[in-house]
Amino acid sequence: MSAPTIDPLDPIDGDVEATSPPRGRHRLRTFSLIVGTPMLVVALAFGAFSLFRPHIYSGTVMQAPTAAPSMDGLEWTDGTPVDLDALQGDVVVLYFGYTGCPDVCPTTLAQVGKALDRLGDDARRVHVVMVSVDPARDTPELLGEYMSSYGPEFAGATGPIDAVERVASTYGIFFARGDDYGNGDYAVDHTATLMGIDTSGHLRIVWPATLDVDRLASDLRALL
Amino acid sequence: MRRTARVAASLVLVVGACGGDDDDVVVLADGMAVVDAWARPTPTGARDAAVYVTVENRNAPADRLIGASSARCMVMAPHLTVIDDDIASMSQADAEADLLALLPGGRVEMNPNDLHFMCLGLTTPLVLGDRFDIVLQFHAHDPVTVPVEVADR
Repeated sequence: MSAPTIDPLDPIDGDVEATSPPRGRHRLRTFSLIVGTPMLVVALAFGAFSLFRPHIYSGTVMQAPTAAPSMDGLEWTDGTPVDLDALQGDVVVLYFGYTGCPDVCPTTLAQVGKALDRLGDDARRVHVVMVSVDPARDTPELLGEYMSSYGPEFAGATGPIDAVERVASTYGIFFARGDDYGNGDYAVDHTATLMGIDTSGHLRIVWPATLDVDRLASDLRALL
Repeated sequence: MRRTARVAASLVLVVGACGGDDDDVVVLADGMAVVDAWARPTPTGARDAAVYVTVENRNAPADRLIGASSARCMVMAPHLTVIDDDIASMSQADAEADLLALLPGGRVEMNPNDLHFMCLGLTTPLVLGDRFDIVLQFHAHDPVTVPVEVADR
C-alpha cells in the first residue's frame, strides 16, 4: 500500500485553501451566465421595443378611421374651393372657430403654433385649417389675415351658412350664437376640439382644446 | 432695531419672489396685491381680446373685483369661458359671483379658457412685448392701475 497522496484538486481530500479560488471563479462565471444572459436579453428587447413601439397618442384615436368628410360649399380665403383630397400626403389639423373669439380660439391656435415650432421643417407638411362658425362676420379677407398672422401653415375656410352648418354637422361640431356683449358684438359657442386628418386623408384623431403643446407636437410627429 | 430691519427686508424679498415678475406686482398698503396681468398678442383683425389678471388678498379687508377699464378697449367686462363636453361657451361673470370675491387670504386667478377680462373693441392690436395699463375696479378699494404685459405664454 502506498502512502496516500494529496491531490490538490481532489474536492474531498484536497486542501480547501488550494481549491477554493478556482471554484470561486467558476461559480462567478456560472453566476454571470445565469444572471447576465437574461439581463442582456431583456436589455436588447427593451431597446428594440423603444425603437419600434407604436406611438401612444394623447388625443382620442378613431377606432375605425374614415375618409375625412368633404367640405363641398366651403372656400379658402382666396376664393378657391376647399378640396381636402388635394392635401393628401400632408397632415391637416382641423378646427372650427371664429375671429371674434377672444379667449379659446387664440389660446388654441397659439398652442398649435407652438407645437408646429417644435416640429421644425416638418411643420411645412401640416396645414392648420379653421372653418369659421361665424361666416356672417368672418369675411374671407378678415379670416385670411387673421389666420396668416399665426404663420404660413394656417388657413381659413368659410362659405354660406348652410354649407358651414352641413360641414360642421358631418364633423360632429356644434355651434350656435351665444352671449350678447351688449355693444352689438356677440359670442359664438362652438365645439372647441381639434381634429387630425392623416396623410392618407383619414380622420384619425381628436384633441381636446386644452391639450398641451408637447403632447400635440408628439402626436403630430407620429402622424407625419 | 437692526433685527427688525432684517426681518422686514426678508419679508420684502418673500413678497417679491412670490410675484414672479417683480416689477409688475402692485401691492396696496393693506395687502391687496395684483400679482399678474397679461394678454396674448392679438391676431390681425381681432376685434376683442382677453386679459388675465391675478389678484391676491394678503389679509386686506374682504372685497371683490367688479370690473376694469383701459384706453385700449372700448369696454371691459369679466367673462367666464366654460368648456363643457368639448363645447366652449362664454358668459359675463356676475360681479356678485364668488368667482370675483377677494376674501382675506383668497385670490382671483384668471387664466386662458377660464375666467378673464374681455377687452371688447380693441383700439389697436396687442403686439408681443407691448405693455398697456388697465384700471381694476373693486367694490371697496379705490381703482388700481396695473400694467398688462403682452406675452405669448
